[in-house]
Amino acid sequence: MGMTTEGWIFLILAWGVILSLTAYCFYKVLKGNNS
Amino acid sequence: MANSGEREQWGTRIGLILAVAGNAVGLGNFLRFPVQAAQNGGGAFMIPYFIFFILLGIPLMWIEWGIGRHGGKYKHGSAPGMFDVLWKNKLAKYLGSFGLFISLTILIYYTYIESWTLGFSIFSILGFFSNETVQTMPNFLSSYQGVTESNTFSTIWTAYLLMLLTFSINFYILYRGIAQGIERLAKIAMPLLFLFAIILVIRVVTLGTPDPSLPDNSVENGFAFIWNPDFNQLGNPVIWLAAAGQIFFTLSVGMGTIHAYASYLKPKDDIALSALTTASTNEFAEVILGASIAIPVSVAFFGLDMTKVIAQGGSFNLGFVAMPAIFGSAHLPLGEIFGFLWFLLLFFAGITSSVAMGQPIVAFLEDEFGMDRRKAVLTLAAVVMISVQFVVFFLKYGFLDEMDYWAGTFGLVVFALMETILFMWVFGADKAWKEMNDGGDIKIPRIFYYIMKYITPLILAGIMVWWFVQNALPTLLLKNAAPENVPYIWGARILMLVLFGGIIWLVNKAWNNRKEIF
Repeated sequence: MGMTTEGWIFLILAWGVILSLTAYCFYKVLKGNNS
Repeated sequence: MANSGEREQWGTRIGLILAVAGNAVGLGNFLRFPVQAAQNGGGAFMIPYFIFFILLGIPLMWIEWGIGRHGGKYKHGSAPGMFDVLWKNKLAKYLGSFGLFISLTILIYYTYIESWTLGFSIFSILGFFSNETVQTMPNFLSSYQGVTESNTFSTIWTAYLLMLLTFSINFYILYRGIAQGIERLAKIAMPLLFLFAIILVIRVVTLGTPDPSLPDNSVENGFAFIWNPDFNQLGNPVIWLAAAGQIFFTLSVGMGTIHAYASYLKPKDDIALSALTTASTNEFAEVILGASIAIPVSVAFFGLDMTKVIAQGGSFNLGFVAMPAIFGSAHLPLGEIFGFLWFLLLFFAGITSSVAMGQPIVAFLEDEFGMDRRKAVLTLAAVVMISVQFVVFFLKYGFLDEMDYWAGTFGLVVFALMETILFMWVFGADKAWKEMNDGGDIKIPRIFYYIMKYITPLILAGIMVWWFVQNALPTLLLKNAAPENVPYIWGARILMLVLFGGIIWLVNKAWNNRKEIF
């Protein structure tokens, strides 16, 4: 079976979106002065 | 009577975010999500999943944080008071009672399940699983639950003692309060949860093919099972409903718990960014970590066909049957330690959620009856400890399942629909929008105004109608119930009615007391 190209695309896209959003949020939170 | 004293507050913002993320990150992130993805189109499942994350998940987070902080301004930490502030109508506080009923009912059975994870983490490190296989584990689990007998457990008392221990830990944390109890727990448990999950993911992805004589049993094929897309399934409405349901469950919305936590914010504290951060943290735990442990390791050890059979048995089988058998396997060096980490991770995921479920009732008793925290927690403990006896001893008769269906599945969507309509339509979309953006460290994109006002309630109504026709009606009419379970199912219903009736009575009493004072 193995991972297909489409499988890798979906995995990378999903991980990329979530990692970017989480990193953005925590960057903004930690930059705030009441953390 | 509203408590005249100052309400508690969160110690730090990061503590609050970790506490709300802890509420959201639960057993479902590590067990339910990978099974749902694999069964509903693999990678293609992520298309409706992300769509509903934007249209349902994030908007509901903002709505609940908004209602919670707004209610906190009026010293209300639970849904009855919050709804009463939003809608000046006698009915409002009784609609809010659903928020107390749902969180209380789920707390009763969820904490019992949570105690199993604590027990299994201890059994792991003690090597109890070394002789177990995927064929023998169902009996190990059911004997632990007191449903059957095995060489390891001949009575239910081990499970009962661990249940008492788990409840005691929960009540102690609740008694310690917001900053000293719940926040401190989140600051310890959440980093450890992520650390354990990352260790397990690294262990899983480096497993490769544990048995070289079976090259198809590999971690890569496990990832393929979850991620290879089946686009044909996208035309099936069931897949879209499954995605909406998963988003709904994973964020722990529709319970009244987020409201309670947000009520301890200051009036100008940010909610726009904090809500988004908790939602994204939950997704990180689910899509990146949750999808990379249980299914890939199961395929690596048992193969794809066996994993499909296990997954069809439900996410519970994956966690409590397949995983212990893997950790006990001679093919996994230091399996006892990885098993310990897995179940302790689930325990942390569980306890950060269960304390959140206890908080609305505690806040209700404190805010509306002026009780001190000790008395409020003791009252909650008494109700929960009486109720859980039925769950423990009638488990095999479907008592827990009945409570889970009405409170933990159908009830959530009903409550979420009510709060969305109340906030966006009765309180008013413009006022709600201002409330959610007030003090915000980010500005919520304007498109979400329209999503929250029109699309989110429509999706919720769609899910509710679908579930009512597909499941609620047959469940209500006992269509698939075994005849021997029927009296117990009715018992569960009576217990829920008693709990709901009690909450309605207390709400009525609290508001009558208030009338006498003012």
